[in-house]
Amino acid sequence: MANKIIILILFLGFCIPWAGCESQENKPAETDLGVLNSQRDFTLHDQDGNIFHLKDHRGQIVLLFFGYTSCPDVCPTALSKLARVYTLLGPAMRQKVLTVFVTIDPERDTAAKLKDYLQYFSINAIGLTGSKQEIDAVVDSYKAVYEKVVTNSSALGYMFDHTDSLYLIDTQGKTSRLFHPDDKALDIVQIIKDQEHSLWPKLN
Amino acid sequence: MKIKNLLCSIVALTVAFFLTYAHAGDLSKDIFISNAWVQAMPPSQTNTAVYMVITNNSPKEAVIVSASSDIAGATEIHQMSEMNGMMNMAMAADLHIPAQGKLTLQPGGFHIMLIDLKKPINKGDTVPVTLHFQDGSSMIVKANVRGQ
Repeated sequence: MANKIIILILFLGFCIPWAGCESQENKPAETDLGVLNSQRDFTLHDQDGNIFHLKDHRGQIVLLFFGYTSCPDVCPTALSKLARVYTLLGPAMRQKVLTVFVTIDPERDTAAKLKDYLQYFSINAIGLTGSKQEIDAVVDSYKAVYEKVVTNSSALGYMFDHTDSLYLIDTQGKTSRLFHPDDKALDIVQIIKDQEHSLWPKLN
Repeated sequence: MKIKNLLCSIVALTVAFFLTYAHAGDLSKDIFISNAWVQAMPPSQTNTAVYMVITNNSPKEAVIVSASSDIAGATEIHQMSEMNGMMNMAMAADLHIPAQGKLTLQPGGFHIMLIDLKKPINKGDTVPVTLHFQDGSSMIVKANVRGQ
């Protein structure tokens, strides 16, 4: 009987810490839109008029964002934060992390405008556009949403409501994390570095 | 005695007058603006946002009903709000700054949008924005152009 009690205590002593233990680094965001851990590919046109296939960027970490250049708040805020992320990552990591900015406003966002816009933020980024149908297919694939809101009382004419998440796509093309506006640049950097380091045993 | 009472009444009325009317008609005198900044944008972009902290030292609520700027074709007050990972932008009719309180215009919240900029704005520039109050008064804010 005493032996059974000792075994039970040892068993519980082993299990209880593990039951409460969770890898905080891999804990998904509260709103992950149900897109994590699935591999996707898509095709659009880039800011230089070339065809862009996501699958051609296996081996890079991709940060995917849906926005538009006339956006006064969310998009420049996100891109400014990414500028800090790239600064903190350092030059060695710059080419390993590609920011992909898909416009939800192909009507106004020409390829040239996309290129000029993204260059301003000093990040390794590429702007993508296409027909509304092509863009909608990518938006739907990542379970993002956007809505064009016609606003006759505004000089803008129309505005966009849109998903403000930043998708972290790993080197295998799988969405591994969603970042939100309240995520800090330092935290994003650490998660990217953790992603990079987790690959080394496989690469070696 | 009567003269003394009369003088006391005059003093009391004068004090009451100033307490009542000193803050009427020009609320902007009790408003202080800090950290006013404009989101720097690429030269090709003709829209941007202005942010600031508005402090109201008045015993009355301050209401900003509009804004204007000579460097923009149109100036509007907007509010951002987020729900379920989706960011919404809508026009706001006004900005309410509570009595003895403050309102912060910041990314993700309220901003004053400059639309159709008449010329590019660069980091380090100063942009004038006029705030118009419900009581008819107004004040000019000098906002610094910068990144985040």
